[in-house]
Amino acid sequence: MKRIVLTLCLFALLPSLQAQEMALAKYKGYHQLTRFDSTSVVVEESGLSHVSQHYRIDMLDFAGCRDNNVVKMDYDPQSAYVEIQRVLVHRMAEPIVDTIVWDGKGTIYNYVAPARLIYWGASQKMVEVGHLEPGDELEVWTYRKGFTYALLYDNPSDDSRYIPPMRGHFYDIVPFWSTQPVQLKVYSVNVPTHKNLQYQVYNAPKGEKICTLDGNGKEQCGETSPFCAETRQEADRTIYTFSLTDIMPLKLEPNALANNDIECKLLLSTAPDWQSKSIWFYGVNEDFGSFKTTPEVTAKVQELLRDATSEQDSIAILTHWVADNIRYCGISMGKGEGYTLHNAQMNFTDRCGVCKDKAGMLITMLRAAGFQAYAAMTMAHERIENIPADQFNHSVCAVVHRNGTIEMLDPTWVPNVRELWSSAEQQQGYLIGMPQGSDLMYTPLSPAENHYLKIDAKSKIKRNGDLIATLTITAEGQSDKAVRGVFSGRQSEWQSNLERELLKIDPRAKIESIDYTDNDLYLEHPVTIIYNFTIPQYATTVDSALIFIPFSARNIYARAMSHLAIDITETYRTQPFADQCSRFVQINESIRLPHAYKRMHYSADIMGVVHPAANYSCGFQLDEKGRTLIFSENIMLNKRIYDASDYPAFRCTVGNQKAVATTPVVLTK
Amino acid sequence: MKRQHILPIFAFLLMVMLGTDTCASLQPDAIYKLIRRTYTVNQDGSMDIQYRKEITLLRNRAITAYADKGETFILYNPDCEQLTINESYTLLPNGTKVMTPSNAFVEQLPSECENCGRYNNIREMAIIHTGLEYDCTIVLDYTIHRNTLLVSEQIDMQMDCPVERYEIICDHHGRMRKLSTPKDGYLVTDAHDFHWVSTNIPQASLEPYKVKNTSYSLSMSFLSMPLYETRPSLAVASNIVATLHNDDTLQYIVALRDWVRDNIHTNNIPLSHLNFESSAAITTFQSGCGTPLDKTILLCAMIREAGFVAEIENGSEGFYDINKVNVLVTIDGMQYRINPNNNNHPRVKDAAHEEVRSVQNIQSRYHTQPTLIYGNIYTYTFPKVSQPDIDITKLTTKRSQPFTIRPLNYERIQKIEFTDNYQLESPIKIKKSIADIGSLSIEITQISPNTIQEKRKLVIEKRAFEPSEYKKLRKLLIIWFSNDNIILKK
Repeated sequence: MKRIVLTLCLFALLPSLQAQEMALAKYKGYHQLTRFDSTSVVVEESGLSHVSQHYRIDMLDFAGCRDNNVVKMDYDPQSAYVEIQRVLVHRMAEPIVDTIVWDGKGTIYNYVAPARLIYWGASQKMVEVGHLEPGDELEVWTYRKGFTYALLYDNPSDDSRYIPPMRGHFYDIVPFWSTQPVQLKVYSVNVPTHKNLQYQVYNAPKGEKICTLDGNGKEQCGETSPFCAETRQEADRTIYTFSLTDIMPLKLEPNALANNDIECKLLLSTAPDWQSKSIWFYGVNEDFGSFKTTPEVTAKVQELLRDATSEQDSIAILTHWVADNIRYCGISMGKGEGYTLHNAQMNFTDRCGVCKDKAGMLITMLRAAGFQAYAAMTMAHERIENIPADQFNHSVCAVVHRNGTIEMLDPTWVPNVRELWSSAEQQQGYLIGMPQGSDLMYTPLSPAENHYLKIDAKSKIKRNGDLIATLTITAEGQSDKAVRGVFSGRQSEWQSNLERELLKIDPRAKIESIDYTDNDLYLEHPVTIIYNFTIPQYATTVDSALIFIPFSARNIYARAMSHLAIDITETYRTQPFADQCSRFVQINESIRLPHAYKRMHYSADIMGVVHPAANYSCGFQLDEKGRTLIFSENIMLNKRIYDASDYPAFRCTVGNQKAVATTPVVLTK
Repeated sequence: MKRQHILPIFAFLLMVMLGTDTCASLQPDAIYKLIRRTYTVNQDGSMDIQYRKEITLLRNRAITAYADKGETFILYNPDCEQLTINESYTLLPNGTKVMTPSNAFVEQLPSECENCGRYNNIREMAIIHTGLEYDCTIVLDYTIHRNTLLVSEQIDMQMDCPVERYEIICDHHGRMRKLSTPKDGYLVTDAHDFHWVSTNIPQASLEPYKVKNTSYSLSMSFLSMPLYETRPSLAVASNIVATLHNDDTLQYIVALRDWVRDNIHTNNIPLSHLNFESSAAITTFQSGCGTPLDKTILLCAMIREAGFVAEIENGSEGFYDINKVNVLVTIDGMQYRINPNNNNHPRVKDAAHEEVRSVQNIQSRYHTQPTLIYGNIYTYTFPKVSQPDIDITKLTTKRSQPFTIRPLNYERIQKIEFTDNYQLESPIKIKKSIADIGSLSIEITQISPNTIQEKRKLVIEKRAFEPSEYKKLRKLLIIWFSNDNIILKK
């Protein structure tokens, strides 16, 4: 009955049919239009939530028909229950409604979903809708109870397996954005009042500007928001209703952050603060015994640390052993899979696990070596907001040094990386599970110098224009990782991969030799690759003027300069953006010339950049005799996540580098 | 002169100090000690296929998830196949056996069967091998019992890492219909009806543009290939067929093909798991999903619905790629091949060989400006239009495998008309011909005070080149791809 009332209300909210027809022009180019999407949640005292969803989608073209010809629901049977209750198709061509599923009756497929890397038995229910034509509308009712992750309970009976791990608490992250237009989205949650649900809406769209005259006759202006939030009391329960109309897909600018970071979302949580979440996370793994060592693990730790020279050395040895020897592949421990970190016995025997299990193995080994170490949760490549909802997709490790400082370690992201915490995760939120609790923290910026890419060249241009060069590439940190990409394939392919880096710049290159550091010993020293090569007729002579582009400037090893792949066509941008990591590129080349030259001419308009986000400098210098040209270029990119206001400096820096890579130097006598 | 010598010596010393790998031994990631396939035809007409592999992991790359050695995926259809795992364990270098735990066997829907109800019964057994470390050996042995003899196997014994011993055993009791054995290997005379052994098979090359190596390919078939047909037309698709109508017949056919290609979800399920059965066109249309063969049958029916004569081009008995089954459509008395599983333009059935040879004669004219580099010196780079389909940066110096390329007869003329008058500083005239390889000519000349003309011709005479010929071909291609920049004076 309640559901019928809700549906009627939704229809009442919709614009008239005529207005809808006019509005269709607005949706040209999109594949589907969600007429409404309504979610109603009822939270029990235990925290168990019952989620009912009802939506109706209009097919705008064949692609929309294709994308909606099945209805699927993902769930983990260990911790959630789902039903596809009703599926109807309203045909445009005929005044009929095709009933695909009614009250759970119909053909509903239930199966373990296809998976790679994580084999936890995540399941799906699916209904085949069948052929749709543009103009048809799909209407679906679903029901879900439970949560995403399973945890430990002694007496599973009835609904107990669906009660959330942080018993009594409820949270949700509700995106109010979509990649296809939505006319109306409603989210309602009915929760016991005493649970003190806190919520926050982020990036709510702005509405119309409205100005009124105040008592003094002055104009006062403000903006309305199409986002509505209402609260009402019913006995000892509170019902919160949130709605947004006319959701249009946001045109993302190049390298934009995650949609959840820049578009409208709603966060809700009954957890009072991050401290309580931290204490819970600590307790749940300690109680399970995730970090209890075994004789085999202790023996392995002793073996690994036999020659360790310092506290930091020990931490590094253990972190990289876990990174390189516990492969990323998750099998289910059954009840408790999710937030619970597999114990040492399982991890060490299986030699595999997902991020949390790798973190668990490292914590066990660190503790076996006498360190204090804790599990932590983080959100890779998405911001964690202040509301203590579970905004986590990754698990890592925190170790406490003897001096009390805490160091974050990520054994999942550092295989073949000369770091203990991947700087691809800088400016990222995390929460450590500690007995006394801890607050949400953010990883700091990693100095660009820690991720240098150095390109040093000594070259000679012969009288006939041929180039003879020795080029040395060295790199550290995340740049080291990127350069080592040439060694990521089979060993028999390494030589070809190395050669291709050079051929990408000039296919005429004749390689004399390529020497490189042993990639298997990547922890011992930063990568170094030395090329000796010649390129026939590299430089051109016109009227005794020598014309060429310094080879080192031509963006060799662009694989380690992801900033060059960022589209900087637009002059301005409104959205923040992300690169892979902060980075320092330093290029130096000494070019021996075939004759003495007096002057250098350069047509590119290069401007130095000095800015907290990015720095750029570049220089050419002819020696006194005019026989050697020294070229140098420095590109400093100081962040992983940039504000839109950083863009002009970033754009100028990257633009300069691209210009120098294509602009010839002209030397005249 | 002396400095020239010092630099390499210094570089060498530096590499020694850094512990460089100047002559790294090329160790494979792993090595298959044994792969054995045993086919047994049973009295009741069913068949057992037993598969055994023993693989030793040598490098970290084989151990980590980024390679494919840590897991095994077995596709099977419970409706006609039963899977039995005979044994699965990891043998550590110290002799310890790590048995694969029960939670490391996960029966799931294969991704090939997603979004399609009628294929939702097919399963994939994911086996996650545990206890992996350097020099460990994964041992897996399983049997698939098939209810029928509908088996057609094309086995490429060459893997992505070396194979010490590959055995194929078949006890068929005279029921094998077709057999093709590889070049490398030998028959073992024993109690089995057929027992083939190939040893020391090198790992498959990853070189680009390589010729398919058939030295280790073995094919055998126990069935007559079914003939596929479809109903005369498909009335339920009439609206779509009408919507896509185009007066240009070929374009109409392509539009129908594109609709099937883009709007019917593809389930790439090997037909052996479906007992070589296909779905009716109406089933595929209404479900919006199907195998490549299902899509071909649907396309055939839709073309007929559009009023054309069309049929499925069934292959001959034996081994052929089911994805390549075409629709033959008759237009103006000519039969064209079209396939909803690729983007190829319809091709005349009997003209296939001629069409493979790419003949292009492109003429274009541009109005543009060169780039000033200094004083009155300008530079200009010709647009890279319609280049032959070769990535020159992938053509590394050394080559161990034969190289293949589509024979070419490519010709291009571009006229660049500048807004002002410029003098071409260095006209280019290159002609090169290499016997049995090909030839090229590049001519860049000034044809009027403000117009430069680029004439290019490239002829590649054959399809396959031995590694010994590759060097010459590469040289030719480098010349072709390099000379596209000119210097001008105002």
